[in-house]
Amino acid sequence: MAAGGLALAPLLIHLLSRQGYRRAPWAAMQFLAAAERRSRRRLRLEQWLLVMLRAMVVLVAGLTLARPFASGGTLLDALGESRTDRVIVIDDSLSMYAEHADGSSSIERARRFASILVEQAAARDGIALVRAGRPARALVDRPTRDRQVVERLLGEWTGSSAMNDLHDAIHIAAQMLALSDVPPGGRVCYVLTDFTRSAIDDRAGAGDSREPGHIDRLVFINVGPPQRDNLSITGLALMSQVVGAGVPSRFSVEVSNSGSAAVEDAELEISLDGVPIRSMPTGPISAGESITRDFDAAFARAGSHRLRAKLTAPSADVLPRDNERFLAVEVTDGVRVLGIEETPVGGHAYSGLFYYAAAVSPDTAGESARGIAFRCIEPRGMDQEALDQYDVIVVCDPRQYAGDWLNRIERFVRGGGGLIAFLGKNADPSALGRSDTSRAQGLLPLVINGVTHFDEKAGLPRFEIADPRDPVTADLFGNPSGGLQRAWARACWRGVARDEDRGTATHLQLSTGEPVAVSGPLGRGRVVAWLAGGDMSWTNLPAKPDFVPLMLNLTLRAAGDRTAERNILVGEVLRTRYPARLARGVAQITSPEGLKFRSELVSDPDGAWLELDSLEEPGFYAIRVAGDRRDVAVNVDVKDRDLSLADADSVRKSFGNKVQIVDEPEELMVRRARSGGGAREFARVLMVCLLGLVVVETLVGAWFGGRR
Amino acid sequence: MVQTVEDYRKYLDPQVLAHIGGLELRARLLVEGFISGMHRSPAHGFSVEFAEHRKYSQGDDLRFLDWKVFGRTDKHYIKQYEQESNLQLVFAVDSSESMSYRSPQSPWSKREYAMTVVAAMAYIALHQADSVALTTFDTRLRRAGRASNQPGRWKSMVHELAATEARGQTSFRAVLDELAESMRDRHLVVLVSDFFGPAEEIIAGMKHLRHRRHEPVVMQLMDHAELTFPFESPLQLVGLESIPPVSVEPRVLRAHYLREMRAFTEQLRRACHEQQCDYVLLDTCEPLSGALSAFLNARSSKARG
Repeated sequence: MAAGGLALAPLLIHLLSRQGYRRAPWAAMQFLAAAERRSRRRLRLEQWLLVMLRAMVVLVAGLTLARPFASGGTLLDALGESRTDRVIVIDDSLSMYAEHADGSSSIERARRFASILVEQAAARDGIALVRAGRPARALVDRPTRDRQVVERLLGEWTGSSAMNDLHDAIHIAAQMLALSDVPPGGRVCYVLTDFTRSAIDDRAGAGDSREPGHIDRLVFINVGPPQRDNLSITGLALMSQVVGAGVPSRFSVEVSNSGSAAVEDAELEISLDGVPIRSMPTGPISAGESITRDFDAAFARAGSHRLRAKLTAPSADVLPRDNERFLAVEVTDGVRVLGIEETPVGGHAYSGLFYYAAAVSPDTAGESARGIAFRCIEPRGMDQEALDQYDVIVVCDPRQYAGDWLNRIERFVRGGGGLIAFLGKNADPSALGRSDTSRAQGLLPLVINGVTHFDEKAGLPRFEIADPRDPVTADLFGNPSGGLQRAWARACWRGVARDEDRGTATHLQLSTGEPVAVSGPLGRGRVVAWLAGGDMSWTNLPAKPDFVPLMLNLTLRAAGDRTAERNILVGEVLRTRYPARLARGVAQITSPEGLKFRSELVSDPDGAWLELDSLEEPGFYAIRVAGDRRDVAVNVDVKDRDLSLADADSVRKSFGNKVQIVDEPEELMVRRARSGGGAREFARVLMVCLLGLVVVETLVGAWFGGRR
Repeated sequence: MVQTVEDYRKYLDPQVLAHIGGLELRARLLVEGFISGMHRSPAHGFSVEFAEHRKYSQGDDLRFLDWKVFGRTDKHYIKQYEQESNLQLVFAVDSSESMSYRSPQSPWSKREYAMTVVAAMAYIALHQADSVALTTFDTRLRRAGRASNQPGRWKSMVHELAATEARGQTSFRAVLDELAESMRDRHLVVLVSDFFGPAEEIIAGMKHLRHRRHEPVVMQLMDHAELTFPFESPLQLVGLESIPPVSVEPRVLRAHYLREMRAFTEQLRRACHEQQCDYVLLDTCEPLSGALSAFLNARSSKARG
């Protein structure tokens, strides 16, 4: 419209300039009149030709600057066709890295197709981009007409490798379009996805589709590969507690076959700190099945280590990005434990912490070969103790002690420390529920409802491992010589776990179902409740060989699994704890590609923390803060590994009946290529036309008189 | 201060002459410059009655050197003779508004040029004892009087010229008819004008003059801009004789204009030739000697005839 208006400018200038001609007296008017009569026609022709040329120059210049993007209807659009706001949702989840037969990936195709959509949109149309990899987010606040911004974002786009979140992404698009002021029918959302079931399936459940509002047209474009077999490593985990350097630890790697055919010939390669340590075949994996392979690895020194599993997949595997798995392992050089008990340990064979102390630290005078240094005090001695020197506090049969001891323990735990509470016959469980801040809930991960005494005549219940894969008890499972499963309990505190969804775990239970060892988070620390007493009053378990590793593992559990916080998925927030002395430190992070960036630590009353939410490249990240170096492993979210194609009904069921599905975008591209359109070509033609017109105008102007 | 020959000749240059105030002085200087530049006396052959001696100046014909005086005084003197002529001259000067045009390049307007050249011609004529009359015209004759060669004639004529105002349009047919009818005897009629009017009327007027046995000398005065149309950028030209303004594109118009102008002047020249009249086209930027030469040629031929 503006270019059209500007095109009239030369005509107006021409007419106005005629009014502004310099006036001069003249006598020989009779020759002039005759000459003017003779030249009038040619003059008029020349003037109109020049005006038209100049109008075209302005028009073409305006069009070139306006950069209309549609090859077919561009001119009409630029001259006033109704405006459209378009939001392009690009699924950049892990599955979009699947490779096509020509070597390109789905994400590359999505970007290419998005570029075409941007090019073909009219200059006055708004364009916005939303990424659907979790967490879904808009890359521009609202539909913009600035094509350079959109093209730059598309050019810089790297996939997230995270789980997809199409529903949230489309919801974001709908919110953006709700604010749009385009006429009805002009709010369009394109979704470039591979139509995997995980992306499409309705989260709200069958028959409860989430038809997005404020979207007039919702177009799903399939950019996924036709071949969708995928083999992936879906897990690499530590199966046992890492006690310390030199002690072998057990690891597990899981391989899943999401394809439609069985796999026979995959090979796993394990490397530690970049050095291959093991290679093993996966064995046959049926379609849709998973297998697990365990292996041992020992760490030569304490500190941060990098464990990597790599899968050499068959050629049918179209998604190689999930064939690697990374695990950052933190090997500690010792755990400092403070015992609190009314009766000192020394010399009292039946004190509550006697067996625990003997298990974790046979030499009570100092640090044992098991890496645990144990020290015991009376409750009244806590005032002189600096708790932050310890990793774990162990209390036995707590009671209502005087002073501020409970608040101090709670601050210690919430700041990242561990607490093990042995509740025996002399315990008052309510003593752990009356701190200033946790009175309602208490420190324990379960609610205590009194003591259960078992009838010896009916047979005392035995101990059972609640979960064979639980790192705390995995070492003990299937080992009859350890005596765990032969041990009995005469009584125990009756407890109900508070909230399993928040990390509360039952490690050991009785055959009657009563939990004995339960752990749960509290703040940034952990609390382990042992409900059968620390001595042999209620159970004979302390006399069994398994008691030693069990106590070691519970202590390490309470001390904190530093490995867990060092391993996250793409899209998750990394949150890792540092000592309070580093509160104002700056972390230098080195990405898997060797890129370095910085981030400041944040501090709170419990210490210092590093939070990072931009780790989107799978692999190991090295983080240095002052002298502290640690590794973080970021893995792809394999929930999106199943590339099975969702059908149109599923799409409509999830996103409503407005959905238009384009299954063959390649065909559209070919059609577009045949039409010879394209914004760049059009812009190029405009530029050539503009230059040509300027040259012609200059030549004609010079030929006709130059200064007109 | 003694003026040399070269000093006088500079007054032929219109750029110099235009800066001299007073038509009388300007005409005198012009004639002096003109005569100084000639290789012979303009008075030669027109009379046998001795008038005076004057100092020899370079270019004078040695035939008129007075050898007797040279023998007595050893100095060179030229004998000058009184002219005996019954030529009656009428200077008809266009005083219409178009004669007031002066382009930026030109030192003076056509009217100023005409006044100067007529005054100079009258000066020469009167010094050669011709009778001179002056008439101005626009749509009709404004001043008309009998030709006279009385001593004060030149000054009065110069005053009349200076008092002439440029105004109105021109009607050549009426003016020339009136002029032809107003003179009984045969006259040398010097027409000084830009002749911006219908060529047919001018030619018909000259024929009328010739029919009345007068000898017209056509001096067409044009500004240099009118001869070359030097404009570059588009402009609006405002007619001087109440003609509406015209917006012109010089580059396109120039060729047509020049063609029209040349066709007109050629038509006049051809008509003059056919009528056995003298015709001279004068550029106001060019030296006035051309006008005087043309006048003298015409006068001499008429005097001999």
